[in-house]
Amino acid sequence: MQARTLAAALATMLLAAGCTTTGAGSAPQEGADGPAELLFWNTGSDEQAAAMQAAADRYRELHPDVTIKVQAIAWDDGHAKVLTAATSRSGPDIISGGLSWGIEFGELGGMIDLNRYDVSQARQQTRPELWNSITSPGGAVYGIPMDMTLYVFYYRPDLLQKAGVSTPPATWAELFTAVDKLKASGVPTPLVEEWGTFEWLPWFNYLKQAGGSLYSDDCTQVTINSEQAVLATTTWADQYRRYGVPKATVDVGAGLAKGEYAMAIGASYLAGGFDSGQPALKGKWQTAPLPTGPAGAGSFVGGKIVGAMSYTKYPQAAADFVKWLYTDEAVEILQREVFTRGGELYISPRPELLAKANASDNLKQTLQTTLDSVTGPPNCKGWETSGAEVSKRLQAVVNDDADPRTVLAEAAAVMQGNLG
Amino acid sequence: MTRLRGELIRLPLYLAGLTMLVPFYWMASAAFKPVPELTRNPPSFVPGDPTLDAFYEPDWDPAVRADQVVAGLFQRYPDVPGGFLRFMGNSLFVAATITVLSLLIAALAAYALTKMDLPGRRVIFVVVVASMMIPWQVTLVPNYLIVRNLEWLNSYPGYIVPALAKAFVVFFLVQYMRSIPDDLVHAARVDGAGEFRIWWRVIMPLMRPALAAMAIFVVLAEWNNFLWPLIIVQDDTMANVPVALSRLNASNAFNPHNMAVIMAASLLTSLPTVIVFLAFQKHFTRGIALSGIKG
Repeated sequence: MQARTLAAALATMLLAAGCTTTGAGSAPQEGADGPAELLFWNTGSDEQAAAMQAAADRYRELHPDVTIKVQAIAWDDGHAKVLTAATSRSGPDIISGGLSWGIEFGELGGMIDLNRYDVSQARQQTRPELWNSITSPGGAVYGIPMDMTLYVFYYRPDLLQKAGVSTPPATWAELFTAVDKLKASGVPTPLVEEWGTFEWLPWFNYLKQAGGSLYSDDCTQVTINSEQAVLATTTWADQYRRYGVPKATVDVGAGLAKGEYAMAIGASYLAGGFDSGQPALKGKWQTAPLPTGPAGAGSFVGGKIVGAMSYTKYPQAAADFVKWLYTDEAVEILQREVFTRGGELYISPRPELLAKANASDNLKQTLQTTLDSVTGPPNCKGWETSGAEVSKRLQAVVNDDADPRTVLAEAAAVMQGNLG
Repeated sequence: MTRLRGELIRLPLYLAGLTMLVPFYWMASAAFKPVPELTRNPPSFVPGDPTLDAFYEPDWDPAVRADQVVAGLFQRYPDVPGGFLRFMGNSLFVAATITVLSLLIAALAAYALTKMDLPGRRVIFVVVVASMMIPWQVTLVPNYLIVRNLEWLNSYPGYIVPALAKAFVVFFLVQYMRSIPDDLVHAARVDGAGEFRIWWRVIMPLMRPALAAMAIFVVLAEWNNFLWPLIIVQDDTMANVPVALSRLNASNAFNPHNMAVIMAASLLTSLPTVIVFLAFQKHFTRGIALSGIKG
């Protein structure tokens, strides 16, 4: 882990060094007319890269001049690796990675503004909340959404019924009532959280459900220190303080299978591994949208962007392939191949194609409902730097019994400072 | 009686030693467990039905998804000639080359600093020792930029050349070489031997224990090197084992059945280091004693 931190630090140092050197790879850009050989670093598993390669192979059948080689890079190391490539102007032609990577690397001059290649079709097909997240404050689109990860409420109906809870909790009040009842019925840890456990990510769901936000829509003001945020923070902290939600990452599948957990708030990708990883869980789990707060439903949406690097010799070909990933045919290939090779669910940024995904009707219904209330990561300047600091201050409410208003004021000061 | 008492006093050490072996045992046994057994909770300590599926899964078909069937280690990386063995080969080649060349270079430097009438050799030695105080991460950026400008990214020279100068090895060999009498060198010079010949024929044979101790440290460090390869490798075929393991680990997040494959890869990865350690255990212990390096 230390090495990975060092990798990130190295890449950051390269920013400074890269700014003062001329890149050996800064060759003149060529058009897409001639044969193009593109290297695509796909952040994720080997299976996801293989699925993307299948899509790339199909693209080559349609465009014989363009060959695309897809390589997997791990999430843990991907950011440092792509940042190094972006700043040193050497590396792949196309990358996929976190939703915020496009703005981050694009603002450094490492990625192409895809507006130059007309991504209006993709914009129309993507949910506006998601598109806003990947659009820089200046309007540049350095990477378009490639897939989505949604928060899902997983539960064991049998355990809920045994505890006298007939339906999955739909509100905060019902959620915590269910926790009490499940505890009384003998479930040791009724509720767990996954995907950013004890970090700002799951807290963000509460923030939205309370009606709060991190920044104003135009990114000119920090809004984290609102009364809605105080309510969200208090409720989020109470999960740990009063209702026994573990602060450490847990094995959701194993816990649900053993009946140690009855409910889990986690990422949509977990669903793919439940049946195969925990045969005892097969047929025993269901999903529902996250319980709602006083302002209604709200859920964070994550996922990946895909974009072209600024130093690529073939910007037109790279942009064309990136856009092609939005076609029906590409989405169908990715849905099929991601499931076949990794047992995973591929959630396209085109929500209308969710119906064709390899998932149970219950899960698809949950995801469809969740999509109506999603918000992506902020696209405001400085959020990447502020996220960890915000998490630290939120954790202080649980760990040190700090006052939510105080910590949110501190978080706001950090965010305002980074906002510039 | 005294011996028995001595053993009893050491008992906590034995227990602590066994405890430290548990993760290694877990890794080794998990590599041979069938998937249902691997995911069982509570886990089994000994594989009930050992299998080699994590290395090669005969039922795996890339076109058909079946629960609990994932590609074995040697069925992965179809685009990389040799698959996982290629990564091991890269690690082995790079670690061996760096070890041999860096020791030779360090031994030459140590000879020049101790046995030759080199002007300013004290200053040079102080500079070499002082350079050990600079965190090696600080040199990563200049190294990276140099390697990039030389167009050595994604190449063996990019792996090897920046790792050849090792101040600590020079320091260690200088200390050891000082214990070799200068009279031997003088005698060789009187006999008409040149400096290179003296270094190779007279000094190097006497340096064997020190070189062996350093070789173990260098080879282990290079075998486990993750950060530098992560940054300079841009093509799968050039990856080393730690980089490949990191990638493999990513697959597990989505399908826990890859855990057995990760354990198989970890087992293969750790075997060379275990073999090196067992084969050169005495030198390793001596190296720690001589250099004062601790855990």
